[in-house]
Amino acid sequence: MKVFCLNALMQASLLTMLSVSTIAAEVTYPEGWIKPGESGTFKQSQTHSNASGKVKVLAEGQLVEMSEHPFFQALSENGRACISCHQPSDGLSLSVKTIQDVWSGTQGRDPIFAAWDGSNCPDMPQKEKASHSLLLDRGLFRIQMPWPPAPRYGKEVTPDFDIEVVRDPWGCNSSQKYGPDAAEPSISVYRRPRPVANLKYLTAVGFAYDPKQGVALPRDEISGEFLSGNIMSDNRSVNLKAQMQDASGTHLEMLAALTNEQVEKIEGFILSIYAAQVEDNDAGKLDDGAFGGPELLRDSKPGQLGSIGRAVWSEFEPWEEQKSTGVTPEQADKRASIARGARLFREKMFLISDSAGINSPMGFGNPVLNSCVFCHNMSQMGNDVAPGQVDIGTTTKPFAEPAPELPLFRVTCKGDPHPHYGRSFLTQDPGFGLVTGRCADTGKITLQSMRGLAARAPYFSNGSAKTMGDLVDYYDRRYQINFTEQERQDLINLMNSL
Amino acid sequence: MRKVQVAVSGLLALMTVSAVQAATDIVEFVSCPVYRDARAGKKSGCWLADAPESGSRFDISASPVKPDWNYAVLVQGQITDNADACGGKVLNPVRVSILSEPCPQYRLPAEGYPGNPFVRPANIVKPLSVDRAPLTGPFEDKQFHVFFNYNKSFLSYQFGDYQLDEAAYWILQAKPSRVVITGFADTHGITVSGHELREKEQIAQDRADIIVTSLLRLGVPDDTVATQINMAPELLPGETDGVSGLVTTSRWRVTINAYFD
Ligand code: HEC
Ligand code: HEC
Repeated sequence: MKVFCLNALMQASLLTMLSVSTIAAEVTYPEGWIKPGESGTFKQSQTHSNASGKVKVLAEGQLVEMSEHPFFQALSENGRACISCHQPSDGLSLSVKTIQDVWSGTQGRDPIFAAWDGSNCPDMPQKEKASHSLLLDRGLFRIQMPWPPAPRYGKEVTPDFDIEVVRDPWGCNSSQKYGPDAAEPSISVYRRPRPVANLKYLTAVGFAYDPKQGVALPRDEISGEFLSGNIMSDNRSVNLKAQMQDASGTHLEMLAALTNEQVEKIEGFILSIYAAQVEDNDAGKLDDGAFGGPELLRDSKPGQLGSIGRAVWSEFEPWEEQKSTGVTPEQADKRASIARGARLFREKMFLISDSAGINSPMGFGNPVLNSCVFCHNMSQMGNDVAPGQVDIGTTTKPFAEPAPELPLFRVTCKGDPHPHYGRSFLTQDPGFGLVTGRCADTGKITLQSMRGLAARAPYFSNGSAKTMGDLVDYYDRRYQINFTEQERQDLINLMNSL
Repeated sequence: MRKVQVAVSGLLALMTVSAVQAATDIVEFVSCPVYRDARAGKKSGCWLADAPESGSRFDISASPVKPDWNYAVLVQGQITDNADACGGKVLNPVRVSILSEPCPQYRLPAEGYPGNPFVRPANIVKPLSVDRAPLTGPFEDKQFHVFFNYNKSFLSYQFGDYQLDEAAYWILQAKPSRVVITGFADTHGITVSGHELREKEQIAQDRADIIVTSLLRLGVPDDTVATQINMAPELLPGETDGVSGLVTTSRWRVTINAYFD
């Protein structure tokens, strides 16, 4: 446990909650936690323990002095930095376990709990744990989206659906300050921080087309490069630079935009970070005879389709053939299970149905027989080579979990009905639809990176899968896959080793 | 590269002639699709549909765009004697258009049918990482077509995207002075199985817009591109959509004319 004096933590927004007498109170942080403004260099190689083993983080290139680097500096009054929500110990995201530890270690005074998006709604009483329940229980930050949507690729967006608030447990979708009826109309949804590592895979472009939208890929206005479409749950930021400005204006509550120099520095840094699980508690080193860990990620060319290049998770193919020399029987068993999981991921067929982005409008058919790798198709990373906006039902009824703690919206399509949900349906987070304004895009969430998963539970953009087991069970129910107990465990073991 | 293209279009022209000549082998109908859960690897499930006129069951799995089991389909295809892997007479080439009329989901078990193991189509867009042979001039005025499904402006994967990509590749290298894009909508329509199928007027513009947006993004200069719409598309007797080989579906298209003037 690291111990800091709260003096170092003092922030304008915190002061209001503290009485003078508590200022001297000690605060503790979980192992590996990096505080905004902390001095020292960011290690070029570091490993951190998690429930199933260890995650390894590499930083390529020049050593970064954290106190002088904008990714680590608290650039605004709320005391946060990018590092606050993207911690190396958590695979450059934040696990719920870490969030809870930070709450208890700081009595809720760390800036990640800032009112703006670290509480369920800024006008709730901030000292109370209950006001931060979505962050503490599900790892979710509030994302306030303009409604109607902001212009996209320089064009106005006129939504082809109406959105109506059905349930608003925290008041952020129905007050005079927040929500569609506020002076600046908005919709608040709640999402997990996405890992800021292995980003060359998320910006890589495999083909010149977006097959899900049926149009050539857009290009970056400045660089002229094609845009991958794989950043953020809803791709509202089309590249890393846009993403940073979004983050600085919202999570960091900065009033001014980041300077060009800051943007360049942050971009350079985040593109240099690679993270992956490197050790499993039972299987041992994941790069012992296999190719787990971040090195292969760092050294491979991004944007390759596993089906025509290196098969997805073939990293563990060497473990398909048992070599029991030098490993215990338990180790050998776990290694075999991970290798079987990798094969299941590619080869266990099931009927994928009613998942917009796949079953419509691409032409694969509804249903289509395929496996996990159909969507998670990029070598080494498991995200989608094409822009990865797909609706697997995680946020939208009837497939989404009941989750009464999340807001619920009724979407009514004004033009063509939604191909799978019909004219009118319920969603906890319209996802991509909040950005494109298209009813057919509602419920689509961009596929995430699949590396370093063990460091950052819970899963899915809305944190609905508390554990990897819950995630596999979700797919099992959703697509009626009927995994055997062994298959389920093999898949869990695989994903905890990525 | 160029030679191959010529050979391919020669072959397609031949196919068209035979399609027209064998017009009696062409079926066209609207019905609800049936999914047969055959399991011969990814994408191997069968798509079947019964023609209401005859009650005959056809295997429509070869369509570049597959059905959605919640919606009726317009089927247009040529009857073959190909081996029955699914439980229906095989249509190939065949095109399926998804209609807005709802259908009950129907899934048959495999019942011993092997299904259709997936074969990667020959004509698909290449990854950007693949170097493509440059085209050599001299270049002359040229026409391209990009085909859509009935009443849709969506550029279908491994079908319309490929047709567009071929056109774009040529335009980017040949650098014509003018590129005229005509979006068509068949507002007059056809009647199939008692269904009057008329395309929406707006589809013509939507189709043209998708092609223009794509061409500009691919690098075709803005000031060379012009668009128009047309509500009375002719059939293209000597042409095919490059995949299905059918003539009847050629009304649902965008035509790209490139000029050097
Ligand atoms: C308060 C927590 C928080 C802070 C501070 C924060 N982020 Fe994030 N970050 C998030 C969340 C939440 C998301 C996911 C948003 C979504 O999907 O809508 C995210 C997503 C991202 C992504 C997209 C990754 C992907 O896989 O799509 C990048 C890149 C990123 N953040 C970088 C940054 C940078 C750079 C900063 C500092 C300027 C920063 N973040 C500050 C919470 C935070
Ligand atoms: C139809 C496309 C599709 C298929 C098939 C699919 N996924 Fe996913 N996957 C997604 C999408 C979309 C997301 C993001 C959903 C969200 O966050 O709400 C996702 C997210 C994930 C995540 C990341 C969660 C996180 O929070 O980072 C994991 C792990 C995962 N899927 C595993 C699997 C496994 C295992 C299978 C096979 C049983 C599978 N997926 C099949 C589309 C798919």
